[in-house]
Amino acid sequence: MGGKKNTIDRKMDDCKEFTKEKHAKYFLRCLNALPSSLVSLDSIRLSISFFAISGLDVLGRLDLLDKHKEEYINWIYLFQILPNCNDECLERCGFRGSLAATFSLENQDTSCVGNVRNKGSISSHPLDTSHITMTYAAINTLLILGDDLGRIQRKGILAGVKALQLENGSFAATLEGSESDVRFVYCACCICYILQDWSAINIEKATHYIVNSISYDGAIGQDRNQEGHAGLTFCGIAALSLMGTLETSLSLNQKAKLVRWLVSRQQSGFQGRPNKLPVDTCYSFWVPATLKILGAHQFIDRKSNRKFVLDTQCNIIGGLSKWIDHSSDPLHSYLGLAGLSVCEETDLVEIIHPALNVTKRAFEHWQKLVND
Amino acid sequence: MAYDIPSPCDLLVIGTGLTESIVASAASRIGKQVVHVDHRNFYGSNWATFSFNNLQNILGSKSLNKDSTKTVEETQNLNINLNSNTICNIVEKWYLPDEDVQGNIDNQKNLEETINKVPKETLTKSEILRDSRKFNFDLSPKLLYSRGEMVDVLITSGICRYAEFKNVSGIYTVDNVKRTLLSVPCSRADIFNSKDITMIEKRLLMKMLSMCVECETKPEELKEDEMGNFGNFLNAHKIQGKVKKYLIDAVAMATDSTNFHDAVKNIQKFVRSIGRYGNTPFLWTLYGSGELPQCFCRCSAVFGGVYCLNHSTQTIVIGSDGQATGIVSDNQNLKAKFILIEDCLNPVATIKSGISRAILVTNKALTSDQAALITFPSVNSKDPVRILELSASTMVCPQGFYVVHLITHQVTTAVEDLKEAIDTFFTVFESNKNEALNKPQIIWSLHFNINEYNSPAGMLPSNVYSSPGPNSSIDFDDHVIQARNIFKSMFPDEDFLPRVPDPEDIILEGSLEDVLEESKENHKEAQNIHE
Amino acid sequence: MHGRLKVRTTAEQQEIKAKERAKKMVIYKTAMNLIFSKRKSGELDDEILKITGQVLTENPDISTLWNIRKETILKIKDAMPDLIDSYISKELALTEQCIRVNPKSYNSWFHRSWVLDQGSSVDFHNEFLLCDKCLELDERNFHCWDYRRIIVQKSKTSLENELQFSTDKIQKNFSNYSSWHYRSELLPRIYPSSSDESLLDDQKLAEECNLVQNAIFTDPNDQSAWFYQRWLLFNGDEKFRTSSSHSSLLLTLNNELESCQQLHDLEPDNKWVKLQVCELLRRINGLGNETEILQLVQQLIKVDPLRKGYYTYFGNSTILMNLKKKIKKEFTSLILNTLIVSGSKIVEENQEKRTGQS
Repeated sequence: MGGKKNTIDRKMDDCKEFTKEKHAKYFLRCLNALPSSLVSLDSIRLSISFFAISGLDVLGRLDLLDKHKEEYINWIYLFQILPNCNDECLERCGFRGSLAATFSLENQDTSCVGNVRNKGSISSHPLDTSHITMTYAAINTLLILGDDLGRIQRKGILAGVKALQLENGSFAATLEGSESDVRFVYCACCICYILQDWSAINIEKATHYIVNSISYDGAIGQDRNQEGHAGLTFCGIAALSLMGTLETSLSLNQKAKLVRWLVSRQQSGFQGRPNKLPVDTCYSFWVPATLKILGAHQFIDRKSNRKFVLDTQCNIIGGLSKWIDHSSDPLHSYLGLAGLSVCEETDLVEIIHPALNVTKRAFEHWQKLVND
Repeated sequence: MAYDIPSPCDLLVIGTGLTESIVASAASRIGKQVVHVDHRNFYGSNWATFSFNNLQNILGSKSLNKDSTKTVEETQNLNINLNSNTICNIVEKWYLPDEDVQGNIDNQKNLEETINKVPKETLTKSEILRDSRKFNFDLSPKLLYSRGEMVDVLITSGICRYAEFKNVSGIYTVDNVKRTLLSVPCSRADIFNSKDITMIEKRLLMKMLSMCVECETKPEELKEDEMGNFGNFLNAHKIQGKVKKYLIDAVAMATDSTNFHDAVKNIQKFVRSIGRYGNTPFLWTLYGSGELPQCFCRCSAVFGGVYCLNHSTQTIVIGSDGQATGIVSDNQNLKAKFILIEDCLNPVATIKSGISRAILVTNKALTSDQAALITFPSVNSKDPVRILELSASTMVCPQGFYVVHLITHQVTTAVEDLKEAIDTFFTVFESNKNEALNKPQIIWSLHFNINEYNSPAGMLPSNVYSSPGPNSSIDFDDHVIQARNIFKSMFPDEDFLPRVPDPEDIILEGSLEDVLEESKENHKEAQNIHE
Repeated sequence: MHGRLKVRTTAEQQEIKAKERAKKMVIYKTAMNLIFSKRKSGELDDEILKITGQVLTENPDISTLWNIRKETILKIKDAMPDLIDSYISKELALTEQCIRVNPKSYNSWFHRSWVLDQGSSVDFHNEFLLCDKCLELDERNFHCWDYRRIIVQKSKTSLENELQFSTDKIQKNFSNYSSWHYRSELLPRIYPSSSDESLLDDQKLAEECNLVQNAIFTDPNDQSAWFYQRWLLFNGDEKFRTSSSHSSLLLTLNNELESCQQLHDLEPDNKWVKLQVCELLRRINGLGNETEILQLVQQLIKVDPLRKGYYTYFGNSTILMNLKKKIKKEFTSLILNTLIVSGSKIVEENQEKRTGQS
């Protein structure tokens, strides 16, 4: 294994060196504290931890969390909203984005929080509701950490998801109301797929909504009137794939048009929409993952993408940034690596499940759970 | 105060034209003591802008110099002749009656009101002169390339704060046969929207522009064409007709025989400047180009330069080592390390060529632009004529009138050199004539020539420099470069008009902040004493 | 009298910035605590609006705070309906400020469109001005385009007006992908074809083809124009066409092919025009043009090696498609021949039988 690695490294001489350990350390730091420049991320802490933890998994360095694994799992469960005794307000259940809105920890000593094996808390007021992206991030992260999902309140979560689907098949993010689009459809599908329970989603309507969001250029936008966007296209196609309706809902022509659009996004790395430059690291995941799901990933020029992603590595603090010579952040660090993963750069990273966005190893752990 | 002129100083500048004013401001900026004199009673020298009345005064009195009846001594000193007629062949014509013969027009009403209420036939010269101050006539009007040397220097030095600019909104050339104006598409959007050229012509035009712009980075592609002239180069690339005209007349500012390199350089300047402040590459200085020398002088004064108008310099004093030691000006001896003299006063300068100029006031515009640049292409191997049509919004004239400047290289005299261009587009004003005639009518015109000088090398002491006057090009870049070269020659290790610091980072010692801090400290101390 | 000029050093600048940041942190924490405690005790009042407003101006992405504001507005609407309009204008002012801070914040745009529904009347002129301003800053801001669609709908603005808007935008900058996209939405609704509502009227199609050709010839590297042309020409690929609309489409395709080939002559290294010529040749007569298509595919691979895999696939799928056609053709003629042969055999046999019998 070591010898093989060296040969490949020498072939890719024109690429920047891959500083794996630096990135691992970067993710560890993200789990502890973030700089004030990223204060806007405070309300979505769970997704940050997903990026960091899945990032470590993709790097093959999940071992660095071994000592604290239980703590992290406990911490994540803190965010879960449990059904109350009468099962009223079931729709609020799921996972919260941050603890700022909850008052159950008011009097607790926060330093020992991680050591308590807890399941979460009930919703303390009508605004203390779940956020679908956080539910998705939490469940994925628990899987990655090897949890058996035993403390997941299936009933509550599924009720929470179901409550968020709209008439037109789309999903909102929270019960209080928010914009609704294909991103949240994707989150809903991931949740139901992992919990192996599709009762919470009207699959026909959701599929219909996604297909109706296909824009004039063949890709998926926020709705059919919007121009296609690579991130949203991933969400739509991955959702169809998870629901099992991908083959039947898109005609060959639609698929061909979509593939052509996706393939045209590559400039070195990938751009999110036509004429939008410079290329951004996160699209190195969205575009290749979508092509992989469509079975067309052989059209990617892996070498150019690899070179670009490696160029976005930050020298000093580690991690990857959205553009070259920019500062790094958790989202782009994770997605850049996941992108390399999708392109099967196995000398650098682990392989990933393109639709669920977790490593093959985590996926196999899930399969075991399902079979038991 | 007027006699507190520091002596010795580091740099003594004679003449407040643009080039020397730029040098003066650059020298002051780096802490040199500058003394800046001009025998005239206005700033700008041959670059100045005048109101109607002031222009009449300047043209009237050609003897601005103080009487130099002193006998010329046979010394090695250089004597300066303030009588040199840099501006010559002056012909002024009014096409309006002097006074209104018919009516009783209220003397208090201003010109604009009069125009609105009374038919134009009764327009008179005295009415126009009543609003003299609303006219601003440049001796040497020029434009700024949006990404040219002048704009760069104005921004980095902060001098841009002292002036305002407006975008030149239209660029035209002229159809040789039909003698009509052809609008030149400058930006991509203009080319896209143009209904005057075919699609293939659009592609050829864009391709040629890209090729010229990339010339620097991909010279291999163009080697075989480097020897030829630009006209042949275009022919070789199948560029004909309107597109060829656009490129040669307007974009490259060239003629058929201009060499390839010069044309490409101009094209690069043109294309680079599009889109920064507007669709065309050019800016016009509000209130006239004479504002710019004044801005540079102001900057020099802010940094300690001393200014004296009405100060006539008679002699440059040369020392025993052949270097200049100073000047004699208004009977004062002023010492200086360096002397910079405008070339029209330079004792050893010779006339090398000239500029033919005309200024017209008209009553109707050729274009609907606020400021337009028209190139009247070269005919009979004369140089092209650049025409600048300016409307009231450029602050050079009142509403309802237009100022037209014509500039070309001198061949005979201004009147002859510019006749064809003027006759093609304008006709003279005749009262009682039907205004339905399409051509704009000339109410007043002024023709003159400006001499261009050459200062032969080696004839001046090495610490005396000659500052070039205006040339016939339409922009300022040459002059900024000339100023920079002079500055670098005088002060080789210094920065030329370096960037000013961000105002937030500037602390004035003895400022309010410090005072407050101090008083806080004192207050604390006082409290301690009490306790 | 004059102070001396002293310029702050970078170290001093950094220290000042660090102090400012620390101050901000404290303010943020205090504010959040206050907001949630008020919410808990049901105090949805002016003060909560003030504080949430201050926090949101710094960080518009906290959706919970927007939702608290929504709750407060609804409460006021119930309790003091006369005052609602003044609160609405405050919401509009706040969302506008937040949009300035982060023009891509979902929450701000979403809240603004929610607010529009709460008041008694809407100043649509103002809303359009806001959109125009945002689009001028960033022509691709899809939040803003989406918001524009919402206000077009609410204000019942005519689609023709919006078409003119997109025309103006394209005239200013034809690389505006979003403007072409907007056009593609509007046109079929204003000028539908008589045969199929989702297709464009023939004459309008010709005008648009001409418009986009100007863009393509001015800059053949601009993706937005090519995508728009693809939509114009190939949108009806899967649609059933009457024979007259089919022949008019064929005419259009042939015209476009001619002009694309002219452009190709001028720009032999441009991948977009090559690909477009391929697509046109394939649709006009994939079988007959196969050789030319495959030649172009080879050129494409040279000119755009990043997408080598895709072009190879394109070439192969053309061959496959043609092969299927050929087989179908031959199979059909084989069947016909067999039928004819066997038919004539039957006739012969019958004849023999008859002659035999006689």
